[in-house]
Amino acid sequence: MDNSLLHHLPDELLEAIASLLPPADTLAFGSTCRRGNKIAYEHLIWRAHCVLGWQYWEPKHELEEKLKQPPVATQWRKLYNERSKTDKKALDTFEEMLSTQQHRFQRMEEINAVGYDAKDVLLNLRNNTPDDAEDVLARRWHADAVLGQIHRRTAIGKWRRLQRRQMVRLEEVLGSFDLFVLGGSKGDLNELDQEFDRLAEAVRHEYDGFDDMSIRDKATHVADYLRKQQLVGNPDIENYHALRNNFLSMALFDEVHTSLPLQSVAIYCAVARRLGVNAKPSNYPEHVHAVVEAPSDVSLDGRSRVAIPDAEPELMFMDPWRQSEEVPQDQLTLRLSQMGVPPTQHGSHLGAGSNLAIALRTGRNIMYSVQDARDRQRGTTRRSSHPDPELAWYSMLWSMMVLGDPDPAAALVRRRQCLPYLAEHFQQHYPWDIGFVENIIVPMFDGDRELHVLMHMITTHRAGDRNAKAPCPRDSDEKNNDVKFKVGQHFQHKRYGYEGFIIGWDHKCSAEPRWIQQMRVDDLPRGREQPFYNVVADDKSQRYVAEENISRMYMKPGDNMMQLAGRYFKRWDDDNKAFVSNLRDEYPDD
Amino acid sequence: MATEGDQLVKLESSDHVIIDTDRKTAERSMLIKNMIEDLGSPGEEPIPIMNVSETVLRKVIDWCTHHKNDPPPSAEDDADSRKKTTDIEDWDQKFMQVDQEMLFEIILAANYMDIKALLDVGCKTVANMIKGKSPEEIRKTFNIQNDFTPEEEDQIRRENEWAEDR
Repeated sequence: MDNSLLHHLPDELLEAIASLLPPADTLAFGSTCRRGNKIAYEHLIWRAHCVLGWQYWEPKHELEEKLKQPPVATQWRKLYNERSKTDKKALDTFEEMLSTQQHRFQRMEEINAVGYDAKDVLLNLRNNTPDDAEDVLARRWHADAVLGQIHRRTAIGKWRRLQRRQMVRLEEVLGSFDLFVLGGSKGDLNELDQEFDRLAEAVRHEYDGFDDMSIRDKATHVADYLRKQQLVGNPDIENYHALRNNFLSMALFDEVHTSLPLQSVAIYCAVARRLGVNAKPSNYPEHVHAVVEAPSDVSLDGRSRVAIPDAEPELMFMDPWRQSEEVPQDQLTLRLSQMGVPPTQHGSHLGAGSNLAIALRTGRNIMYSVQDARDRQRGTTRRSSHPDPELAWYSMLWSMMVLGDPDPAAALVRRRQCLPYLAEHFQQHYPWDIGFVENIIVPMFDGDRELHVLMHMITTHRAGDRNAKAPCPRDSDEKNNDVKFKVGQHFQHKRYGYEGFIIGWDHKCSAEPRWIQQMRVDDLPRGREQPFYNVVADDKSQRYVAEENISRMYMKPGDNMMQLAGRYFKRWDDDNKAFVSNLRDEYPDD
Repeated sequence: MATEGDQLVKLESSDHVIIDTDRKTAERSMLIKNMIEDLGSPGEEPIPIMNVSETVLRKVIDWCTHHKNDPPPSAEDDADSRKKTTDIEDWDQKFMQVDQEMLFEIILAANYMDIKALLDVGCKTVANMIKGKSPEEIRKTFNIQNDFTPEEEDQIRRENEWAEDR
């Protein structure tokens, strides 16, 4: 006889109570008795736990589909358990990764392998590690690094599909550039889609009878709405080439929405296509327009007509970056003639550009914007900037490498040009992406002369990751005792003035003879026999500096440096005025 | 000036006690609201609340009186978007400081009389009594008998392994 008053409640009320419990308490309740256990298995409860527990899911789960189906169609509790286990495993691997430099790339890859199923955990580590955590900088930095890697894997995957002529939507192709620079911000591909869906609904809602309008009216109304919301265009014309203008997520989600014509057109097309308007970016030189194509059986003005196979489609042109109104075709052809484009080529310039061509065009725009940003930064104090120019540059290099060129013969030439830049950038900034180089770039150069160099690079990095670092203790060797500065110290270069921090040292210059000669080390007053330091400068570059050029600084470095420091250090120690080293396996006494 | 909300409503408990209240208070209960709407007006006859005894009904009316001017709930309260909060406002917390028998009677009455906000407060109160406790502590709190076989207990432990070191 059960005399618990709780059990006087009918099942649906027990379920209502259980649905208010956090997962661990739901399980405890389910472990009290058979009836409680039955309640604690309720699909709806675990569906809610899943939805509230995680924002991001690896595509294999098909979560959107599952949510549309009746709750009983999915084993929600099982799914919840699986994801909890994945979280736990990712966290364990993350802790191991922080504890030693050995196998660090390998561990990053292990977390990366579960893809978006690790994004919530990593975002939490990145954004919510408290300031007073013992290894706050390392935690945030490594979470950000793995997160970036997961994003890049997705982006590169989309571009590879595009390159193989598989279906990839325009907003995915362009949003993949965003994935490189996203960090912890909003703007992942699913978030772009949700925003476009929301905007399409908003347009429907704004104009009465929208669904009954002709294509022509729909096309202008979409532009009108986006311009009224200031989601397209750029009122800040001085900063036309600002790096941020290349990214859809920044155009959509930043407080001030600015973009290049290409991104404005992409936003326009994404919304218009959701509303039944077949809009694509054009191939027009210099300034991208949107080309709207009429269906074969209805004119742009809504008159039905007999579909003629292979007939030239009826087109109209939009320039949402500049205006809500349609752009007359005469105006566009006149301009082409003024530019000296022969009439035979007008058709292809007025027509829609392929997603591949648009992606390459974006890559070129980013290249220009980054160079521009670097020029402007030269000689000024480095600040952390969003989007990060190095990541943007990296996105450009990967897009060029993967997409190559629409012409297969030209693709290899393009890739060959690109490879040294990508190899250099990857090694300097993102060496943990070694797996991408192995799996994606190596097959591209199968049988080519570059393969040997690539394989050598991979072997070196893999060995570096696999092997324990040779320790450099201070007491074992008298010479090491003469090394004045320590790993973790912040300094200014006496001659060049830049700031940096120390991540390693040698008791004397141990660079190659050619470098010693080139840098005229022997002309220094203390020459090549003085200690030399591996440092990271505030422009993110790694350098090798003679002791006599180091002037120690005792103030806390700026935000930019604090971010970079997480790769090597745990936190800033204000008592010792230096970073707490996370490189103890290599420099045990620093 | 007397308005519709001030109209006298008579309610009859399961143990046949007539309790007077005003229409606005009584209509916190969707059951009563629908009945009055069906009748057109409260009428002279007491409305029978068949499953609720006098003590419980008085307690429920106390709650409805305190909350009679609450704004209606917003439309966003669907299952997924509902925030998983078990926060309860101070007055309601005091109101719910009753023995377990009364607590569950109130929940059942709120369910029967279709008073969603009161039902929520009741469920949250019970949820808060469960939170943070071990299965054994929950059993003790609610006097639940463990009717699992040892094999079943073993199986449950294995299924819940992932949650152990939280």
